[in-house]
Amino acid sequence: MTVPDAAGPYPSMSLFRGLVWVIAVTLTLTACEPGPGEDARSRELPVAELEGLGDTAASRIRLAMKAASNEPRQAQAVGEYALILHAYQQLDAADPAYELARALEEGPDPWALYHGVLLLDTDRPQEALQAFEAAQDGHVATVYQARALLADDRPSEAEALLLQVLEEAPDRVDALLELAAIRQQSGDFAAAETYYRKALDGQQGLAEAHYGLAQALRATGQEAAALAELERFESYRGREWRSQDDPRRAIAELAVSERRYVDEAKAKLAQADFDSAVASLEQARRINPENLSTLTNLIALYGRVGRIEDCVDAYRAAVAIDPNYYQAHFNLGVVMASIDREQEAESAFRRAAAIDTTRPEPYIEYGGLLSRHGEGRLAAEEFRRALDRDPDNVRARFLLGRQLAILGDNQQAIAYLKQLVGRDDPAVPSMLRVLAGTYGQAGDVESARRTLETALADASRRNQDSVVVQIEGDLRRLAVLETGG
Amino acid sequence: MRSSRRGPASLVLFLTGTVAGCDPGGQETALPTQEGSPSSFPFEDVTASVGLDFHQYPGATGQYYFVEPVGSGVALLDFDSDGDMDVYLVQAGTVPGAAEGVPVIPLAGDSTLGNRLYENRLVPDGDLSFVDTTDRAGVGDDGYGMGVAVGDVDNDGDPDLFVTNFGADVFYRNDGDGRFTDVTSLAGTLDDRWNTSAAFLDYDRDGDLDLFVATYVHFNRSTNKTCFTADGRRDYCSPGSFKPTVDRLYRNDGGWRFTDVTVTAGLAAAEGNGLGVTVDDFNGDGWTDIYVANDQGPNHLWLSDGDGGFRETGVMSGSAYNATGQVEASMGVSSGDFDGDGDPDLFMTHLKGQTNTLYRNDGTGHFMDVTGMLALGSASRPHTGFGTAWFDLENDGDLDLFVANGAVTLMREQAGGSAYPYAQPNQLFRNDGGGRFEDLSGAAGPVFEIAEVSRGAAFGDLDNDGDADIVMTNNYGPTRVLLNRAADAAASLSVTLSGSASPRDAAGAQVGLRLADGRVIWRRCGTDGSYLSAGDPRVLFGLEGLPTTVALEVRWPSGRAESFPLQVGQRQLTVAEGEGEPQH
Repeated sequence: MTVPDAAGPYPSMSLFRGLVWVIAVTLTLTACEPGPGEDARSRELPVAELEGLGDTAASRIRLAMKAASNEPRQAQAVGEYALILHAYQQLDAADPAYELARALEEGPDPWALYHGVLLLDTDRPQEALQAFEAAQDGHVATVYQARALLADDRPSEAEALLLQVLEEAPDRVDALLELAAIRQQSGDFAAAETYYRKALDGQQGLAEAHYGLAQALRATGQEAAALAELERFESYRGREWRSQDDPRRAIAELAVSERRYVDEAKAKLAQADFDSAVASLEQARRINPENLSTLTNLIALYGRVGRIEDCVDAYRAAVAIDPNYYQAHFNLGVVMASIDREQEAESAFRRAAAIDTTRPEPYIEYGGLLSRHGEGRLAAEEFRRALDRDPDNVRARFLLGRQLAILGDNQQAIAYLKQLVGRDDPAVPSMLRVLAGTYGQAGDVESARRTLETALADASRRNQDSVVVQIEGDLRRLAVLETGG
Repeated sequence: MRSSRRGPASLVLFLTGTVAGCDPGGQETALPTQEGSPSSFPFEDVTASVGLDFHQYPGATGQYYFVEPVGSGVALLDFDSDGDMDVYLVQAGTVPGAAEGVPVIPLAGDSTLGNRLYENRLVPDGDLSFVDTTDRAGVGDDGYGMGVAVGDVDNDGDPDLFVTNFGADVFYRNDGDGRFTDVTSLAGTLDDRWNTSAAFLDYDRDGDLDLFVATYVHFNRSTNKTCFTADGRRDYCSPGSFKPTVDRLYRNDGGWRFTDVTVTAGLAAAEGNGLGVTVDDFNGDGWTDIYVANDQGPNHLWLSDGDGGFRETGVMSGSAYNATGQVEASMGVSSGDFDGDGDPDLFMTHLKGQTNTLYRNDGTGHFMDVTGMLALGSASRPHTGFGTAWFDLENDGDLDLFVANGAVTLMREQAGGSAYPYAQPNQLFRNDGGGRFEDLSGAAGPVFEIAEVSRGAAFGDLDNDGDADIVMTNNYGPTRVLLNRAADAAASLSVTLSGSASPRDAAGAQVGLRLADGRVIWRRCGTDGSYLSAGDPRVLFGLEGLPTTVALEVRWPSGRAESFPLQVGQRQLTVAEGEGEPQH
């Protein structure tokens, strides 16, 4: 089966399963008798008690329950609901949800392993054993069978199963650890030592193995070696290890806070590690697919790393949740503009602007796109609209002025650009270079020089060394012009 | 009060010639007993009929103060030296300095705050019943109570009391006339930290009892934290939210003066979240050691160096972490020789999701977690255990286990319908004598069907019928008196010890019952262990189905070893240090 991994969401066989289901329904109707999942489909979905739950837990459970409630009822959705319930420790509801998902499954049973873990954790080792036996997850399911047998106080049977696993996978660390513990408790310290050592060969830093090995060594009189192992144990203590295919990993991962991944993404962004930031946000999205902030950040980041289809997908997900979410439309517009998909960009910016009529940014960004495409006058109109909405917006003012200068309307350009002087904005010194150029273009060299001197002072005050160098170059060139060189 | 129902197959009760041929021996002390017949269940709850009407009250007001769920202890002691076990109950109350708030559950109508002492009227009335004698005795401390330790501190022949509080502890001297005097200031044991379990031991073998006090965490009302369950509900924090601390050892200097020797004895070398304490000679060197059950921290085994010092050997001894090297949330602890190999093994109770854990001693103070192999693991996982003890349920010569359970974090299935959703049923495990334990709880009757928030548990022979009964406290619930019915018809020997070079109550003495087949069954004289509680100091040996007893061997805390002859059918016996046959 496909293990519902943390990167999920869960078995990626939805389409296939849907087809199977349709076929099954058809056959059932033809035969006029219930199919295997028929009774299950009519079963009520277990409902978790959400009162008092944390926001994230409640919203995720609600979302999963909604999906699981859809008709026709799908094993996949019900199983995912069970997993979410399990992850948030709503075990009373998770148990029947797993049962329902398993009853709905008509192919391999991907939920048996997870259901077994729940049964094991709720002290039902015999039922857990049945679930693990039904699971088709290879060695990890067999190791869990052994754990269920141990919980049912049947160590000999557990040992036999573990030995069977190790025959096929001699380096399987979880099996080695379980077997070592069984041998240890039986007083067979030599065998325990061997198994613990093998486990450590396969996995460094296993606190459990170092501890068990220390006990075995001590029990056989090897005090110094035991002490060394205990020191290793202390240095690794607290680090939990699970095999990659251990279902508890996926369950635990589901309950990990969304906030953790968002914070991770922020840190990665600060390092300009966009791919990692995307990965972290994707984890956050899996935890809470309805978080619009996560989705809109993903829209932008997907665009930044060139994953345009994913970007569109995230956008669609966001506007499906809230069609009037300004930032989603705007971010999509920025991405579309960055890849010169003008129509889609315009559409997105227009929607954003319509949603929040006070914001200048959609006009600024769309104007920028038009300008790059040589649509100068249209671009100027967009910048003017932006400025209308926010007369103090430095960038809108600069872009409008620059665009007018490009269009040759120097006086209008100067009128807009002059108002940048004295603005407390780090971009102003560079912007003033454009004003100086426009003065120059208009033949007013003196104003150009004065503007550059103002810009130079401002850039120097702000320690903008590279801008200072550029302005000094501008002044030298201007001096050459003034001397007619 | 007694039932005549027959026992289930799992609790085969024996009616043998031991009882029929009972012939009191020369040193037997004849005490009133309540003779009975086998019951179909191992314990009978006689709370309602014996007048012990105490309700524990933790004073929760919705602030989730960390101290509230910890519970309170209970002690069995013969305070009036009349030959039966009286009961001292510790009360919690209102959290000191707590913000005003509406109680989650109001104080039960007829309940009062403050600790209570109940006199057992078995002697002289002949029936088990209790009378509240707190006011006369002067032991009604109204601090936010935690635990209690019992020992004859001044070697005057009666038991004294040490009460731990969330706040200043209290030391009560038994004046011998039914009254106690608060001697805390004189003793120099005034400590307002959050102390939990305490135990008396003669660590320096100078013939008087010293005092060990476990301390939980650094906590006060202002450092209370807001914690939530994994799914976001408000709940009590775990000890991990607070700083651990150092336990205390006080040396008895005589004349009711104690000196804090924590640092000089080496006990400041490790911090922990101490909840349970037991004192025993774990490495067989004749000196009493200290084992501390820490809540979510490595447990401490303080081995005596024989010179007044201790060395923490928990990790090296294999008793700090479970078999997989995991820290567990240890609450209650009991030491006892469950496998009959002559050394004390350790059993401790843990949090839901963890197993209760049994560490088997190899005789040198090295332990191995054998929980899984002995079928004790899975049954305990759904429960959070507190009070516990090794005791001989059916008097068949091996030690069984009782576990008082009650959650510390919200039980979801009870969250909607209970003002205090932490209830769990208690458990009983029978040692099959072949190295495994059978969970009897499911078939052990009404006592094990009730779900309550149980905490302290004290074990002893309340009705002097030769078996171990239980008194148990419940948060927001009644104290329960559980009479042992499983061993009603079984033979036993109750031994009272009297030390001379050793402490008068002989706490720490190792008592061996030598059988005709050469085996020796070892028990220890002491009141420590369990959780916040103190048990019957008398040593009980179950004799049912065992070969003839030959002699009693005592290793006194002073180091002296003696043998005392036994007579056939002897049921009660008092032995005094120095009056036996010396052994080497």
